[in-house]
Amino acid sequence: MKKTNNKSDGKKKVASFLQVPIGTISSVPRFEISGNREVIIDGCKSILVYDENLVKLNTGKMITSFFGRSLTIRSLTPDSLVVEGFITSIEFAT
Amino acid sequence: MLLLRLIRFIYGYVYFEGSGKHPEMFMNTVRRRGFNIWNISSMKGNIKGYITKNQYKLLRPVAYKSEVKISIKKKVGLPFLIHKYKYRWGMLAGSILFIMIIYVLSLYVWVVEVKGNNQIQKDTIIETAAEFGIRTGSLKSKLDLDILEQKLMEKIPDISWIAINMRGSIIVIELKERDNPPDVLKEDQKSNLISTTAGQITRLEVYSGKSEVSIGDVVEKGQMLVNGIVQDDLGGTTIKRSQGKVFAKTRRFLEESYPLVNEVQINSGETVTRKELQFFGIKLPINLAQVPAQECKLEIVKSKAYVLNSMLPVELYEEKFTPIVKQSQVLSAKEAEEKAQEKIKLREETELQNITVLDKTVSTQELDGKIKLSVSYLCEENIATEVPLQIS
Repeated sequence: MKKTNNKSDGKKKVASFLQVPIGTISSVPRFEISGNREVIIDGCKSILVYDENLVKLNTGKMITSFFGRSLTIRSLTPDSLVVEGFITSIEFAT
Repeated sequence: MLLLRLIRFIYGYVYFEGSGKHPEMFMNTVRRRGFNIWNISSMKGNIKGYITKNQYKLLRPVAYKSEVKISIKKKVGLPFLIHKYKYRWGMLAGSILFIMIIYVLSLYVWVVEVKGNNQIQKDTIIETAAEFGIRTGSLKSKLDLDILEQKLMEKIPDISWIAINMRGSIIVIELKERDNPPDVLKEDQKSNLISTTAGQITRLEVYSGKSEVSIGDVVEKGQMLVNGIVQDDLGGTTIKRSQGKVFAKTRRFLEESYPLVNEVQINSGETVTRKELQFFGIKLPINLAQVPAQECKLEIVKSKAYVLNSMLPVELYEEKFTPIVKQSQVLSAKEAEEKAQEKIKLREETELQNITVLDKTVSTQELDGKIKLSVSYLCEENIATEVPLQIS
């Protein structure tokens, strides 16, 4: 636990020193949301649940759930995917 | 996005549907192996999506391991189209022939266009250009446009600038006509002003020279109105150029007659149309209609083909033969008079141009089976004309 915390604190300090966003040197997932219609997810490890009302993804250190209707995965690559549809809520579970 | 769709169409793709126990495991495996898959939707355990044609074959083992059964619902793309028409040799031959014909036709000039002409007739320019090889059907590679520009300018002196451009199979001739300079007044030319017709002087505007007449004088044709030889108060003589305007009341007459019995042409049968297609100068008859044996009226109609405002080297040439019969038509005196008046009106527009008509008297007479219309005009006009002074 301590090691992990130290590691993440260290990355924060480096990012702060170099004046760059934390996302560039850390392996946190990136979400780009366009309204409530489209989300581009970078850094997704696997798909846990896929349904037209729920898409649950393993994004490394947390599990992200997208709730909505008519949800589809427009494109799928080893590192990223695009979820389309009417998104009503997003949940992060660590 | 359009480019992406085009590329996918060229490579071919399939729409598949699948159902099974572990659809998420199937999708994760698909992702890890880097399959190009898109528009995936899932509903109650059923997966639907699109994948490229080549990768679908590799998808089956993945589906088998994930216990998902997949099947193709639709095939889209060029490879499938080619496979469908694989044994249609005619289509392939037709496509190749089409491409070859288009290529061969593109080596020739299709249309010659002219822009920028006002006074010079378009037909004159096209005929002159045809003499030098610029015509529909000429081989483009044999045309040296720079030399042709010079030749055209030499042949038509009224052109001050010309450019001949080739846009695909269309030759565009753009030109600017020469602006003729105005006549230079020769100040040293000595002259008198002479009357062009008889009349009574109403107004004098003498700019140079000595007036020999006054307002109210009656003059004959050829009489001197303004003298170029001017004597001053000290007895000295100056010879100058006479300039000015001399307005006088004059009388003009116009006469026209129209016969009471006319020979007119009446259509006596059905019109026979002979059609021909002209393509690159080659004439291809479309129908073989027989020309009527009797006397006919001929009407020629030429229609050019256009595609998106561009003219094509195809022209429909129609000859319409209408059989006619000549019959005598008897007109009433009033009708013949109206016809004569129309003729008088046409002559008034040309002969009485720039002349003010003060009064008009019309008289009608029937003579030798014709209606004769005589019109007398009282006009006011400039009767002065410049005549060079001969000094021996």
